[in-house]
Amino acid sequence: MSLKSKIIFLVCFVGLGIALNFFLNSYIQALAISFMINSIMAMSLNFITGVANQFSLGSAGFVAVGAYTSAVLTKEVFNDQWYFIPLTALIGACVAAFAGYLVSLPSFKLKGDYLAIVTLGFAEIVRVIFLNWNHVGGPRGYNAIVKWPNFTMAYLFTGAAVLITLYVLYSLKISWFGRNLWALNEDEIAAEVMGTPIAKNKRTAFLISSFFGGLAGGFYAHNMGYISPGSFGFLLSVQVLIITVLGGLGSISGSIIASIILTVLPELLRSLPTKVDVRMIVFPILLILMMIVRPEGLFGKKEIWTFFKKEGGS
Amino acid sequence: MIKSILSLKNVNLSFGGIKAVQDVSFEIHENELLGLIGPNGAGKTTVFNIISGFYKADTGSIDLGDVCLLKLAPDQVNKVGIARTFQNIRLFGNLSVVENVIFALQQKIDHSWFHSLFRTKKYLDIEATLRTRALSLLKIFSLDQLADTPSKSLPYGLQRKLEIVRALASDPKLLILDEPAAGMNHSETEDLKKLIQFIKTEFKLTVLLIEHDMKLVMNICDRIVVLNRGEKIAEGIPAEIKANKQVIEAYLGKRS
Amino acid sequence: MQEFLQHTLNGLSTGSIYALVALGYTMVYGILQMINFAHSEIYMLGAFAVYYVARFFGLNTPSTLNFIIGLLSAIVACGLVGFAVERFAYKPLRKTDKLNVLITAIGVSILFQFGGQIIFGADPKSFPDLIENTELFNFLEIPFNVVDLLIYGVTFASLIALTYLVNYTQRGRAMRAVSTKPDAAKLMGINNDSIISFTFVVGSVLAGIGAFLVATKYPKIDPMMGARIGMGAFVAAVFGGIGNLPGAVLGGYLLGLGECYLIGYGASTFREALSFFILILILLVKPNGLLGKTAKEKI
Repeated sequence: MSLKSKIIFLVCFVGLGIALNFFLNSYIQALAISFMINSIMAMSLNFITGVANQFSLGSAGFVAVGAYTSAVLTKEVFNDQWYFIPLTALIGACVAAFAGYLVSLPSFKLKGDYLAIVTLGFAEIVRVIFLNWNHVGGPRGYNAIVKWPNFTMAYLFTGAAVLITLYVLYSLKISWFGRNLWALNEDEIAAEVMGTPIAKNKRTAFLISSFFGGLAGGFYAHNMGYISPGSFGFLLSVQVLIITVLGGLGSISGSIIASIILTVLPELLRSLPTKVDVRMIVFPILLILMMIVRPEGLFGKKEIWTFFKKEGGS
Repeated sequence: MIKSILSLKNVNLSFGGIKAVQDVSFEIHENELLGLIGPNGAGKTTVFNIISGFYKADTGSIDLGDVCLLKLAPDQVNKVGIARTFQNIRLFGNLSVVENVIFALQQKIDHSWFHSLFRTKKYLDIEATLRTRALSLLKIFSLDQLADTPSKSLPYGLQRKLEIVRALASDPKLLILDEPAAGMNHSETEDLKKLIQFIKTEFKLTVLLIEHDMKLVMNICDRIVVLNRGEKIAEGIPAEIKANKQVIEAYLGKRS
Repeated sequence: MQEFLQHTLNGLSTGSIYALVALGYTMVYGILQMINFAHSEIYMLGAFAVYYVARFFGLNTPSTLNFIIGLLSAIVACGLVGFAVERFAYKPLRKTDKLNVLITAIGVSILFQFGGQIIFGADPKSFPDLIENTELFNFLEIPFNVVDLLIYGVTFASLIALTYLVNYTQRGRAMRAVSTKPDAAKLMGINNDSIISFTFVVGSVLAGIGAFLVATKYPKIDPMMGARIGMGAFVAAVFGGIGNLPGAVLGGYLLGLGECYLIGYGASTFREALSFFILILILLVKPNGLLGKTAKEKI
């Protein structure tokens, strides 16, 4: 992008935030923020599962670590000042990245199903720890977390986080590191023989992915104002997985489109007369059908913008 | 004086009581093409895997120049200067031909996370250089026309060739070829023979070759080491090996 | 001492159920190398099948006949569901990436859990009383009841039957052949698809038996009951060495005992994390499980 188009983009981005504050009702505003948070979670999972081919079912665990860290920090260290949220969310992301690194230590040898179970187990262990940790509310959850003062701020910061996540993960995907990961998941033994340390690459991929999972967690906590271990169960991981699969494993920008669809779609069905979460009926059906009809997701491994460019463009 | 580049001394390895490799010692001299042969189950591939770091020898020593290889992982073995190919070709099938080569080239570069993340000029320059280098390497082997096709769609013979090119890209001192003629017909084997001789002279490489195709080995190798049941039974120039009684027995069985 | 004995007995009956369910995971993994996430939901459906059969025929008096009808309806229902899930959800994906099958399995599992909540209702239902739970004898003031005897007995009988099936019958031999070398098995004239189907059915039947026994002992059933036991049973299978039948049984009993001691000695809130903790420990120390074989990729 040229400097001019960057400035135009920035102005539009900020202007939209201010404008939407007046033109959207609070229900739509809440949906917009939750779509953004979902897309950060999905991009984070997409990097580890789509790009690095490490099947993770533990998104909820990293999100939980980020959410709790950020929530506790704002309350106990930063006196509930909302402008510290970006900082605490960042610290939460770092703690989550560290957790991701720990998970990757024993699991670099594991593939496919086994890794899925270990990451799932990690998320469960995290949840049980928070469940038993009375200082952060135990099963009752953590209350009265400081929230954004208005929609514009929530939009600007969360939106910036989405853009940064997209930029960083996409840059890494097309970099030498992405090539390493791609080669690794094509043929580990050959990649190793050609001089790539398997474990180190996988650990780094985990670290990066869980960083953004934790970041999403921080924004989640301050968007909701309340978190509990129940919010970070297996179902959250599955929801994130479904978004990622729908967008296309390996298509970072696809995850954003898919999270719009999967955030809006269940809202349209909300009027159905049932007590059960409709999403949990619609999502799995969608997932099963996808696997049969279009297993590569909407965009496969490609990014959205490649569809607008002519053949041969870079 | 002949300089030795890789030396194995008294290497032993057993799997659960079965001695796969027993007291094997040999040396590879600089710039030579050494053939490693032996009947099925003689331990050739095991020796290969010990050298390239997949198996750890129980006892003995393996040195590449001054570097001891015994404790190194496969990726470190590559870093100190040994590249290999595989019996059953292991290319990165969905990566394009040129990316297979770039992958090997980029392992020799210290990348900076900062520059790659912000896509600085320095980073883009490095990427461009890698691609140019890969393409010029491919051109030598007339694979440059196919640079952007996925490597899995190449015909078998070209896949073999590309695997060798990829190994060359990591700039090795010693190139190990694991049964490169496997599954090739007569004319493909002829081409392979020329290819091996070409890279040996052109890149001033030392080559270790495991092969079943006796004709190929006898034709192109400078010296040959023969293994049988995990032990070295002979070593010498092709003419000596051809006449060696023990070798004939190992291959044809004892005449009674 | 008395307390310890009580926990041990509880552990053994929990372990029996884990063993039965773990067998299904391990058999399917052995033959298709996939985690059948939907297995625990087949287990759940088994309990509901008995509930509805009993309601339909008005079986609510304890008798041996009713017990057997209940057991048979769990077996038939689970066998059918297992067959259907394999046929319609997994078989179309046999040739595609393994990850796709795994994702589908998760989808089927979630669909059954929440579909069950809509169809059966999310609230727990009372399981019909199909056998008189009288006390057989009393040891150190610990009662030993008919239901306990049935859990041990039926589990034991099922294990014997399975061992016979796998080791001494034509089909069992075919199952073992397909799970070790599917391509070679096909060349030897084995119909792989039918053997895979059959394996799913057998695994599902065992889950059904487990579900029926659990519901007889703890007569409250709900659509999430499978989710609560599923992961534990899977961990039990990994613990014993995935793909290994005796391993699954051993893993099941060890996990059952472990959990009951943990609950018994006052750490019940950590129960859910125990299985995963064990899992991570095993994978660190002995990645192929207690009885599993090591397999090395050929280079």
